[in-house]
Amino acid sequence: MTLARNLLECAETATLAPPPPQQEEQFVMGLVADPDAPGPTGELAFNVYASIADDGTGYGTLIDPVHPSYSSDLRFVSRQRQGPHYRWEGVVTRSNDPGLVGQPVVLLATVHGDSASPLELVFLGHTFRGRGLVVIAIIAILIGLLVPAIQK
Amino acid sequence: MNSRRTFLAGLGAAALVPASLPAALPAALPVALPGRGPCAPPATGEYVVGVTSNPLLPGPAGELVLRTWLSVAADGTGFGILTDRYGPGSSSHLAVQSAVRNGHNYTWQGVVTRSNEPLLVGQPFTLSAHVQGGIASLDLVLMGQTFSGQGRITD
Repeated sequence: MTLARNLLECAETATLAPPPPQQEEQFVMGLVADPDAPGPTGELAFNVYASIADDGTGYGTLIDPVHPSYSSDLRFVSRQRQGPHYRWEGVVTRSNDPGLVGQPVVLLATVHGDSASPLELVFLGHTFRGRGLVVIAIIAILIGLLVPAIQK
Repeated sequence: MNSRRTFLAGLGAAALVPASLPAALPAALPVALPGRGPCAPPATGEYVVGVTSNPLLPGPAGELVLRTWLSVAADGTGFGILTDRYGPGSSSHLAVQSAVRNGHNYTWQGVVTRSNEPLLVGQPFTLSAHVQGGIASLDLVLMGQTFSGQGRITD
């Protein structure tokens, strides 16, 4: 009975407190190309995958099964967000073409629901455009509220 | 080279087997359904991802598990990728030339523009989808064969 009362008091306090901090993680997949680019670059079409943690770090892949030499692993180091607009910055860590290792990559998405449209990949001095799917997990940190209630 | 031959031989052989022609083939064609309003290109474009196969096909074609991605603009044009991890001869780029949406039904048509198998270049394809509960039932028609599976569409 006392525990229930304490929990209720804590819940009332929680409703007055500012919203709990949240963690936001993203999974991005999409398809991009730049058919207007000159030469072989214009023939590329990349499947893009990215898994980004709350701190903006994460990893991903670029895959063109018709041009496998461009297939690469990515490491993301930062994220910026302005409303529905996301920007993830990273670098190529491994690639079938060793010359691509160390190349910077920027992934840009405007997110509507679970749709990323447009989805853009800035890579090798070109902007590859397309569409994609974004799954965003927002995890509210409730532990900070529950622990005092239990202690009380 | 050998896998390339067997891939094509598989598709060719499958085309000669009437029993392998799926009943779902007519559903893959973009048809205006009477009483359901005119078919028109979707207003916003789509991103499509899915996996299809047809294990009833004879030979190597029956072993293909084709992963398909499309990026389609609002005007119904776009591009795509088709690949099978264990049958790299089928890996291809697609050009989407038209899109039709009728309620929960989509149809995209186009052509193979690049491929690890040169004989696939220029081949038409049709991908049709029926969306229900967030999941899309997919039928991919390529080289006269239908590969069916599931996927996801985002507008």
